[in-house]
Amino acid sequence: MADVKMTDRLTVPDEVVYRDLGGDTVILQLETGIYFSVDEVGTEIWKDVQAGATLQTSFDRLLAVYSVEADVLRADIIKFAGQLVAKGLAVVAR
Amino acid sequence: MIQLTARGVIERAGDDLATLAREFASRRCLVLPALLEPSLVARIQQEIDRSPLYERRHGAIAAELCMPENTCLGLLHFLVNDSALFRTIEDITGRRPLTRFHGRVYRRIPGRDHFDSWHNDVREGRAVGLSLNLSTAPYEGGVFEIRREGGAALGAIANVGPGDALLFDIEEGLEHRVSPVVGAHAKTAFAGWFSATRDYLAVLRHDPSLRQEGAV
Repeated sequence: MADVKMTDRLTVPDEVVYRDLGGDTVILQLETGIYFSVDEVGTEIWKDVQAGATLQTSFDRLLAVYSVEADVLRADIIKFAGQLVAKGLAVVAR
Repeated sequence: MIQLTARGVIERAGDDLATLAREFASRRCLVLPALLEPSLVARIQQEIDRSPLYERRHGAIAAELCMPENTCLGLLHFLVNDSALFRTIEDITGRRPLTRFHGRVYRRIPGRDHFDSWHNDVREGRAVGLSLNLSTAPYEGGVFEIRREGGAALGAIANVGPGDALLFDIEEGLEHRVSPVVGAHAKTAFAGWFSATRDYLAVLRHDPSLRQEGAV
């Protein structure tokens, strides 16, 4: 898993395209032809990534929306962001 | 109008939907300029040029080169099967619901006996046709024409702008063709049909040209 911190901001590489397919987000890596489905919460984080938000900003927003423990949400965001980076769907802009 | 980009569908300044809907109702076809963003057009043109193409003959209707199922074709389907594009096409054409686009990449080369005869596409729930121009240079000929069966042309369009999309109506009694390509340059297009036969997401899971690797 890639090392990602809550203060990080992710960006989307040129070789990645994505689509809203009726509520589901599907992200396609052009170099590999491999695509990934993202669930509802992941889609919310993905929208924040596109908007240039830090993971902390995403955390603050989602904590206000979803009934979830802060530690659980934080861990989920770190895990999700780490997967995005590991799979080449996003890079950390430091 | 809208544009398909790597980052989803974006709205651009241009004719409003009501104007386009009136044009479509009258001519049964129209062009959506630069539907595909230039960087994606360039990328896809390179992929097509690297791909093998096979001769495809569709009875007496058409003969052309065709690109096999590959990642490039998967990308094109991925880009066009967008819910925002579906809603826009529904508003322009009045055909709804649209849930899926399925097409092929073809190339017609001058002097190679490639042709397209008058025909309609009324089958498999096809409601609206679209042809996205992916030619690397402006071609001559290759004019799309649509008419009532045996009647005068309702519309005739040479869709030569890179990334421009020709939209055309499909219904009983309407037929269309594309005139022979002449001159020095080939015509290459991603052409197919919008329908409500299956949801694209369900189709995507069985698309051999793209591979799913777990949910993120």
